[in-house]
Amino acid sequence: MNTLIITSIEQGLIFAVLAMGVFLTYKILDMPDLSVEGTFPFGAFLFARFVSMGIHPIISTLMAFGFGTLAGLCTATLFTKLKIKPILAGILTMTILYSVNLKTNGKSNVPLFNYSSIFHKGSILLILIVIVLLIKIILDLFLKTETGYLLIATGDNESLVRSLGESSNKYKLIGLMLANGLVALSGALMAQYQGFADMTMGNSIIVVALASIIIGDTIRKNSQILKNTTRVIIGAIIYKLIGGIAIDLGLNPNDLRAVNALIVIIFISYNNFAADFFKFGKSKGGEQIAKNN
Amino acid sequence: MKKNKLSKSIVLILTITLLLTACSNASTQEKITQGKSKFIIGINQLAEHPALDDARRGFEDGLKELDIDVEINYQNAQGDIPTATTISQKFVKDKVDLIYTIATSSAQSAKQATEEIPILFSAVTDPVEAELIESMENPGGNITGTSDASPMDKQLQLFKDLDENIRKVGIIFNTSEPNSQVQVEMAKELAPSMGLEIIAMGISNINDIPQTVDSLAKKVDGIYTITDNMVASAINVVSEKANAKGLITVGAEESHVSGGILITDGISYYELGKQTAQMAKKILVDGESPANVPSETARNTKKVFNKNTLKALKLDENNEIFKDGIKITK
Amino acid sequence: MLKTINLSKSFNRETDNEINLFNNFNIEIEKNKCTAIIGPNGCGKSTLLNIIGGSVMADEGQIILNNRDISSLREEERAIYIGRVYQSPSMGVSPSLTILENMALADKKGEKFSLRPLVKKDRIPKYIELLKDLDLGLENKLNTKVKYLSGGQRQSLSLIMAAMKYPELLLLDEHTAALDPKTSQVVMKKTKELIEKYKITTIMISHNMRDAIEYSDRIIMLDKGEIVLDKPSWEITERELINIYSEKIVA
Repeated sequence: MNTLIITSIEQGLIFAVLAMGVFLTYKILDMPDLSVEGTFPFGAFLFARFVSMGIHPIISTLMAFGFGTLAGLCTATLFTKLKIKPILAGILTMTILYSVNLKTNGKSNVPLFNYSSIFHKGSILLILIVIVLLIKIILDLFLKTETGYLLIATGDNESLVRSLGESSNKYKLIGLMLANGLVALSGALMAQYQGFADMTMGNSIIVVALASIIIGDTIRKNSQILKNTTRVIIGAIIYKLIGGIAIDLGLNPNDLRAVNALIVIIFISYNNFAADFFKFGKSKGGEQIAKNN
Repeated sequence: MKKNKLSKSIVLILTITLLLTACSNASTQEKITQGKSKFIIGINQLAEHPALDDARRGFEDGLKELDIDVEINYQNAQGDIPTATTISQKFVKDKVDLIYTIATSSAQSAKQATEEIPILFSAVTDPVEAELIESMENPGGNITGTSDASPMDKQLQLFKDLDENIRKVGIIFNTSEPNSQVQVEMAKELAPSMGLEIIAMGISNINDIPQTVDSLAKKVDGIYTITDNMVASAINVVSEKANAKGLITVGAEESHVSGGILITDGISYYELGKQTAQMAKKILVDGESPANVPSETARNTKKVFNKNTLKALKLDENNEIFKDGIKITK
Repeated sequence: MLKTINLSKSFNRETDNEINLFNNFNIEIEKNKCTAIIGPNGCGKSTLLNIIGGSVMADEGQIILNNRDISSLREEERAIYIGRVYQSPSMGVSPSLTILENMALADKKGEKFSLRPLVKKDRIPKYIELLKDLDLGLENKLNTKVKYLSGGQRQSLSLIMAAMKYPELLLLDEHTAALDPKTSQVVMKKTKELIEKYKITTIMISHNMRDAIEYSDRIIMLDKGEIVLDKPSWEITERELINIYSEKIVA
């Protein structure tokens, strides 16, 4: 059981990066970005390309992040300059990325067995923990800056942003670029973890991201935005742990997905009801006032 | 009141799940105490799919025929690569004697997971391109297996045998499948020497198939269906449209012919699975290292044709070509 | 002081529903005073405010604020000079952020936003002082998220946020219309105290004639894009306003 837990945590950490990126657009900016299905493999194929050119895996991974932000730039441009609705803009970017991904390496599956990875020296788990913590800390610090707060305000209330003298489109661009960079980074990490980059990597990846965010949401709802990143990370790890348990249960393989979904449902509803039990009178009052307005 | 009901049912579900866990844990215990006379084989199948299922059944039946005592742990990744990765890691943790992977991503995930435990693959079209092995003759590692590369020259030849005048042959393929790209390139290479020209149209979504077939049908004299998961899923659509336009169709697999394609001289995934079982015997029973067991392609091909399609295309059943073939009426 | 020169604005141009709302409209708003603009629905008071604020562009004409032509500036570019409070309590604040964070944001109104931390400890005393003016106890709730505040509290906060950087012009767009009568009075009183204390030039739109008289220095009544009344508020009573309404307008 031990090794399976470690595997699940490892995959959970990789997806935590993805979830943090999606969190930026879905929750903070309140702007659903469906391009992630294309951006995730984009990061993987970018990494494959760079590392095959002889670039050090760490640099390649960082470059995957950098180029990944371009996907956000694409969506933002479609949205702001061409006035295409965000959801459609995201889908269009994803469609464009499909062809781009194929072009980066000329094939739909790129094995990485012969190249070094960032996990080359040392424990995969430890390296991932360090990476995720680093990203989390940087993200948290960023969200406490003047620019970071404007990002939050953009998702909350665009007219406030304008009344402060700023353009909300500018912050949507920043948010989209940052988010897609993180998603691409996650893809690059996954490619190194599984040993290859593949066109199908992005399929249903949005489900993983959203499930991680939602599961994370149900954990101790009290605190400020800062702790949100922590909850997203925990959510991703729990989601993967659930998946790992489902596999380890040794049930009929055809039931794998259903059981996965079932356990997620149980977990979320349990948390919702447990939360109800322990709510204190004070916060309830405040919420009622908020509801009246 | 509603809340209480829901909470109760949740506790109930939790309990059932826990019971199931207990049950399967019990069976795992049994495996360990049985002792080493049985070989434990972990099967990592990438997705639910007739061809892949055939490769698995053929393998299992093959092992039975060879009288090898095995305990099989079958897992299906449901098309999800991270799941395939976890399954491979699980097999490594469980210290199985052999990992049998069906399809490219499963094989790659197994290679990533272990360099010691022997791995057999099947349903991989180009294992060298996928970097699973160094070469077919000398795999050179802990992996070997069977490739489902179809005898394309035999199949393309069928076009000419059926109708001398066929020049342009159309191929539909899923751009996401690496095996498909390989086959398209191979076809394009073979075609000129056979007096044929390949027109290939790539798709990324199964919903694109009807329109793509229509578009393709206008430009070609015949359609060749390669080994491609997406095409296989929609083979009926392809064959119906082709038959409606009177186009000759040749398929890479028997399952295509069942789906309405006129004819194939191709591999059977079931037989391929059995072939792989023989390699398993070499590794498990004879103690050979996978590095020394050459990877193979399908040993035998079978000619199969579809009688209904034959009639629909108004061809002569007594034509020599159909003589040694197996008839399917579906 | 704010001045419009030959402002023109039409809606639904070149259609059957074309409305020429403003036609060479001129108005002058006095500095450091509160001017109330009232009138029936469709008279153009909200549109005028939107044009001045920049959320709607005039077809023709100019807007001059303290000798500066702001006509071609976008809404966010005018924000350095203009503060605005909307009718909805949610429009002037960021609900998921705390009072402190909202104040810190307002503190940077019109300035460049960098990568420095937003909340500056040495500014907090200033925020507390400003919040104390409201007499709502908000200075003790700095870490409460704004979404948990009542409508009146949020509007009061919006007011402080809009006025914090002493804008050249403050636009109040029926800012108490969504509040219950009691809270409405509280906010109006606080509004008057604030603009008198900091001498902020204010344009206030109100549907409530009594409030308009009581809390402003000058009353302008619009009807169909034209000024039909322009008097200092102490020269007119509520009764007279109602009469003018029924005579000139409803007729």
